[in-house]
Amino acid sequence: MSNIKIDFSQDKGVVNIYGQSMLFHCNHYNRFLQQTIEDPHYIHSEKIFLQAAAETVYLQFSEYFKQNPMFPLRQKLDFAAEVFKFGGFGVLDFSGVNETGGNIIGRSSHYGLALRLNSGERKKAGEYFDKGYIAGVLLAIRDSSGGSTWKNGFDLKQTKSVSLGDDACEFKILIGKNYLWLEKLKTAALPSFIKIPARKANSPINEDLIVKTLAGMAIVGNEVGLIPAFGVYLTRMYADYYNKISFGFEQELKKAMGVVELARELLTEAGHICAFNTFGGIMKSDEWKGLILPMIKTKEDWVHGITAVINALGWGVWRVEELAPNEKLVMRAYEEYESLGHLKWFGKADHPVSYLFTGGCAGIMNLLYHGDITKNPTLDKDYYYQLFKTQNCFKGRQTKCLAMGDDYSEVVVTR
Amino acid sequence: MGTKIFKLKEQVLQNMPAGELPHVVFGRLMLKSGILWALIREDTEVSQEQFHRALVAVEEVIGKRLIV
Repeated sequence: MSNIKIDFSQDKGVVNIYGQSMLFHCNHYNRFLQQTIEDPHYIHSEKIFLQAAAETVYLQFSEYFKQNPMFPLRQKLDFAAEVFKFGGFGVLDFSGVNETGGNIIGRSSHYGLALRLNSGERKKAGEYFDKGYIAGVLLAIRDSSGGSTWKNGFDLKQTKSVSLGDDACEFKILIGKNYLWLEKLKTAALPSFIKIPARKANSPINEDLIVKTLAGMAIVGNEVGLIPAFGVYLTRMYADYYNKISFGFEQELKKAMGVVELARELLTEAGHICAFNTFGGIMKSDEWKGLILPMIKTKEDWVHGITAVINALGWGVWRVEELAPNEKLVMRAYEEYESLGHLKWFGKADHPVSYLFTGGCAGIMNLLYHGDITKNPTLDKDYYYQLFKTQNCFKGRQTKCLAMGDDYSEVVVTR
Repeated sequence: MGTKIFKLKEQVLQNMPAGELPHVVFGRLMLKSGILWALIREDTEVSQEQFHRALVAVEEVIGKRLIV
């Protein structure tokens, strides 16, 4: 039985775990997003990943340790391992860690395994999230102990890597070598948002029941800390990790090249990949057949059904504004995590930033009307190509963005 | 015929890794090299330094060195 307290707000579509918004994403999204950010050698992507993970995890565990100040070191480390496993990130063994240093074994790693699915041969260990996670935990322990543990700082050296073909990861704590793990810890205040409206569509889909049922399901890491579900491997990832790596990447790209357009297509492509694998996987799953399919009367109900499922993922609240079968979808998202992250960490945006939302909406239309997910197709690369790269496929265009000052984000999907 | 960078682009098209989507491959090449591959035409010239960057990016994305 897990000791982890999950606070799900159905009204806002947000899952809060010790002060951090956490949401589901699959291995394909995670690996593609990391590949995109790693690709340009002229930006320091490793630093972006490490700091994003360390800062986010540091804030979470600082909050948790504040609530539990009397925990000894071992109990804190055990809890950190439990959260890692719970989130589907893998298994971290902290038993080799003490007040003077030591090492951490990653007995399994979601990222390590996911990165192996990318094309080409990796030359460098890619478990940046795992490494940053460990750093965030150790820093939160240091600060919760009044600075007595690892007070002269530390770095982590990765000596084994699943992404490079080893059967485990290994990280050694290098005491006295101070890496700049924490840089961005203070958020900007968020403005007040409009009240999230009720669903507009007249559909037999019982969204309330779907969200409650899915939010109550124990979608947590198994004995090897992975979450195999819907034909993919899920993680319950930190919203701010995604936001900091995506927008930190954009920012660095702009510094280096003067433009961010280079990245937009690939960040939106990550959304297509997410929709294809995760939404597609969900619409083929036993859970869909058992819970949602019995409510469905028309093909359009599939759109309302998957929108209800999305509203249980922790991404904010999506509302179908307009659906013209086989022609057009207008989707609105209220308090969606990408915009919230931009406003909190990077301020008001001067361009639309909801890449996952844009790619995801296009994905829904392509899955239903360019292909036909209702006929239970195999979700392979050929089908992906057919759905997203053949003539006349659906494309999303973001027309409103919460991060730019609009009341909500909106994507219009047409052919 | 065509410039060296144009020939390289042609080679990329002929050597797409199995299962990879051309728009993703060219998107990655664009990010890696800083060159807008979609704008490369038969008469497009680039500097030696840009061409070298393009070659390195192609090798990393395609997984092999292409001769032009």
